[in-house]
Amino acid sequence: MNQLALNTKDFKTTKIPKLQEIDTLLRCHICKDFLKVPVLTPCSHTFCSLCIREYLKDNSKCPLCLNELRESMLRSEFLVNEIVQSYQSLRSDLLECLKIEPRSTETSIIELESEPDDLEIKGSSKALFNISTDDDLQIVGTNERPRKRLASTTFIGKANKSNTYKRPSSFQSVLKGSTDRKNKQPQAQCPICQEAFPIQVLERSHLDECLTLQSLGKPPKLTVKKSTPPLRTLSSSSSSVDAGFRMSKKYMEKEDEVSHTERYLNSTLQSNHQRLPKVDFTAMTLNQTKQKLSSLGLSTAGTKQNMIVRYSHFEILWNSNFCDSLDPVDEGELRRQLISWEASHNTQTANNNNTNSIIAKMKIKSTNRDSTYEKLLVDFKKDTFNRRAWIVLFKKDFKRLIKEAKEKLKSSTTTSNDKNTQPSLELIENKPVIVDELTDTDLSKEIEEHLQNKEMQAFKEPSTSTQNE
Amino acid sequence: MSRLLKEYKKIQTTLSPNSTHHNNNDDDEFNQIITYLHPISTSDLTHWQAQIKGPQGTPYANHEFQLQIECPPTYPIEPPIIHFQPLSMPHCNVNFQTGAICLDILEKQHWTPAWNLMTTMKAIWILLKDPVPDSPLNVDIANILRVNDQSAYNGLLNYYLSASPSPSTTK
Repeated sequence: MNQLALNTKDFKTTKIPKLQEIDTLLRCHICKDFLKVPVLTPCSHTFCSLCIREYLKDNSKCPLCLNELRESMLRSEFLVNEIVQSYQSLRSDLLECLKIEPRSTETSIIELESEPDDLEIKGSSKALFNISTDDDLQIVGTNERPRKRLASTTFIGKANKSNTYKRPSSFQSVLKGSTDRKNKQPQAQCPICQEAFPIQVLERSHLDECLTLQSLGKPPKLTVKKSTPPLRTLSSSSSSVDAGFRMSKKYMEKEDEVSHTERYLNSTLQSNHQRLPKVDFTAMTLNQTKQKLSSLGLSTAGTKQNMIVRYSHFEILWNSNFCDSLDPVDEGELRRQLISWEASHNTQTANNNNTNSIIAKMKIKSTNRDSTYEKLLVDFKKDTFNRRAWIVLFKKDFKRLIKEAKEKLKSSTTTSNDKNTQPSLELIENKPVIVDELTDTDLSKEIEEHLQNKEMQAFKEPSTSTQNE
Repeated sequence: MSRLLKEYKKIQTTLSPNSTHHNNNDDDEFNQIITYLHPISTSDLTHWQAQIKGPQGTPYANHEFQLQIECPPTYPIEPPIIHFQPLSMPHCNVNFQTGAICLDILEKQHWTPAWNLMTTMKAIWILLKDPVPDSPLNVDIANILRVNDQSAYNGLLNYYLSASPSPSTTK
């Protein structure tokens, strides 16, 4: 999901501008993005697990209230996690449904094959309504209710032979889902009788009433109102929204999605991984530090300082992943994340100046194709590596490198281990741009490290062939 | 980096002139404080420039002041580095020569990531409104403030502001 494009102000121009408050509340105050693996502090504030752990590395207070806070005090919040995910999956649909310009009802025409007997329908839809009412009161938060509800509304729709029932019902459910979390609403128009009601009245009773009455072909009556469900809870709201979407053909494909309610009810931390402890590196020698890192499968390149930085970020990733996340990824994925983090944070540490200078040099090289390169680099830092674009952009260089490497391979005879990298250096010295950093012996190591990132295979071909020399 | 992108988007919607139609109070407030706030180049979101309006009821009223903002790679864990344009801001908590600002939230130990560039601008604006002579960077102005000599204070500030070479005084 492209979250970068999502702005808290998106809802400002919809029918319910107040929704932007939910949109803001469900975001982390550190990264301003939707909460990802939310954790709760003892002072009752919620942040992304990664964000707050990163912050607590150097600080020991809550970013919002400045109360004392240590990493060990953080507790995972499964409910918020599911709420955020559920909201995120609905957000674009919500925006769509709440657009101010009214959409024509013809868009949701449903073909009705046969028309059952009017009297029968009267009975059945009423009966179903009673069932759904009971469910609302008794089985809150299970999947039973929305399905029965779905059945009942479908019946009504069939009975009233109207091509408008679909949109109102899904729209109404959406409203229910969203407004349950907040109680203030402006007025809205009933899509059936066109009269304006406060949204609460509209969603609680009026729409159902209108639909039923329309199906019976009668003017409004108050008795029906009493049979409509008055109770809603937060946990049931998301499933009622689900139900709303199931009704509409457009959202059919979402049916196979995981139910967030179910996920929440079944959520347990099932990690067999121990917390990664803080390590006092000041008391350790360089070799001990290296041992510690390699025991975790981490790179031992760079100075001790680099390794400490590397370890402490890995510790954050690890603890966030195995202590807070509901569905943790494996260690290999964590290492991959660490490598791409290092690649994008290289300005912080001294040794990484190598990669930094590569980037700088590439920047200079590509001044003529500035915008593309900048964009690719930004993408790379955001962890979305566009392999094809990189290949296209540096096609010439890759080709030349491969060609040079092959020629060199033919002409060259035996070379000692030590000289292994030398020819390749000479090779590329022909290239005006990358000359400098290739004289740096650390470079090949650095490149190799980058290559561990399998997405970087674009680079693999040319550079490995040069190194094989 | 993506956080700065988000802030940029939010700032654009909050400060855009057409947002005044359906404004809430918060947006209004920021529009009254900030003339503009944008990155110097859209390809690099770490360097920003801003202009804020002098608060009414102070000698700064009807003047506008430029700020240079630099966001370290560790932002928002670490605070942005913010300076007034050198030689443009006579204020007891601002170094007149360099434009450096003495404000607690701009220091590492008081900054929290919950702040953003817009709220930081507001904090600086409030500093213009309520100078703190007890931790001065401009001792002369602080001394005048300490003895509570309003006319001397206003006179000195007006002198500075009208003599200032910066274009911000034209308004």
